[in-house]
Amino acid sequence: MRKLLAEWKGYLMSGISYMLPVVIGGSLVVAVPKIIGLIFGITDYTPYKSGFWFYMNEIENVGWIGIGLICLVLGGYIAYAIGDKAGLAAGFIGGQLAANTNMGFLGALVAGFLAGYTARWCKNHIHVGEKYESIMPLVIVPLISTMVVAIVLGVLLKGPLTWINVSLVAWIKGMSTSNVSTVTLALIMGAMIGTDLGGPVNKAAWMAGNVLLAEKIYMPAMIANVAIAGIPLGYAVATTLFKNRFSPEFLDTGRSDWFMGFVGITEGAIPFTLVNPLKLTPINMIAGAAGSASAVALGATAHIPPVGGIYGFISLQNGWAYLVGLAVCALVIGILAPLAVDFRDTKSEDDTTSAEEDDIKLDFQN
Amino acid sequence: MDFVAITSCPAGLAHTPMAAKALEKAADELGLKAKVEQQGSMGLKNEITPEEAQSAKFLIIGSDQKIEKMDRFKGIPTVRVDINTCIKKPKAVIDKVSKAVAAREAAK
Repeated sequence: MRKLLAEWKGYLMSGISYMLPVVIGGSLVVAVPKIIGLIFGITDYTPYKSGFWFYMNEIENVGWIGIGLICLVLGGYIAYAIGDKAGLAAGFIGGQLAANTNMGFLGALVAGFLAGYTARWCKNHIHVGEKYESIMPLVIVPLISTMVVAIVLGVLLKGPLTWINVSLVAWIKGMSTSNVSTVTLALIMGAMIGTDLGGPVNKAAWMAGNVLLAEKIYMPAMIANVAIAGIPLGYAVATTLFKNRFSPEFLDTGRSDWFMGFVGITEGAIPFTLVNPLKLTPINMIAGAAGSASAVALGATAHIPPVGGIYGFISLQNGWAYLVGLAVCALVIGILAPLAVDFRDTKSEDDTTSAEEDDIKLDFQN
Repeated sequence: MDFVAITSCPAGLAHTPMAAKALEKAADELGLKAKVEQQGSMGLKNEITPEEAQSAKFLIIGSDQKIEKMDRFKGIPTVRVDINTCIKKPKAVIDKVSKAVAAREAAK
């Protein structure tokens, strides 16, 4: 059972990893014309029927097309992760079905898994003579997998999934519009991002944020982005403020953490945290929670899918509050971490061939 | 070729190269000949050729992700390992996998 759950998580992660560039591309192309407009005090392009502002509007619309593909890409690539190329077609179709109805991201997830497993089943269980091999990818697999998606998702599950999705979305929306609960949400998600820096808890928060983008709920992703960029920035700040508390190798790592923070990669903080996880993990969690919560409390909100990293502020309303959140997060680590831990001489982690080999789980694939 | 490995993580930015470098370094220190492919956000890096794949004793996949072009490794013992473990204890990973593969071959 645990193995199955781990597999499912892997498929979902694969789907998200293909979806992300689509979201980022779409959001940035929406954000850039919006920002240019705002600089000139224009918030709505619709009155412009020609000229520069009209073209700005056209460009922005292209970005929205990208954002509209979220469900389709998510469904398609979950299916691809499970059933290879054979799963893609039905996954795309099911994902788009979910987007066109109110099944949303839940529908897209179900579509992906359904299409992927059906395609995989077809490949393993349907055998035609060698002469007719080519009809498998051309007729049989697309027909069966798409038909299964159509019957199961389009007919049987449409009612219940729509209901679940609509209620779920209403509940989360309620939470992300009331001030008290958004700050609570930010405290929890920020701390989760800081817990294991790219591990399961971090990724759970990150996945929740990303999957909800398909529902036009952008707040959780923005909350996650603050902690994701702020934590590596914290160590970059620490190495700048307290040079004498770090070994030369760490000063080097700190410099690359400026970049990690700029683009938003929490993993940049791992080398530092490994020096003393017992002391540094709580500091990371506090910093993440404080940063995310202050960004939210100061009024940062997202009306388009938010982009991560420092430059992510351009995709937000009250982008300055996001930057303040980043600064809070970075300063908490930048000051507390070097005070709590001495990074000068650190033994590299014990890695002999016999060290605790029982900890390592192997999973034979064939 | 003693073994080949593939690393891949969801964003394909940080863990993928970190794990690949850790495994390469560990293989070097253990005196093993290895090639580590990165399947990151920009596609395949340091791609393993089918010949290299077939000459390897085993394949380590440091990932819980979808791996591209698995048909290269037909017949090669393949083991999935958590990518974080590859970063933290690369030598132990290589050692344990090679022992496990040898034990399995012997049992056949």
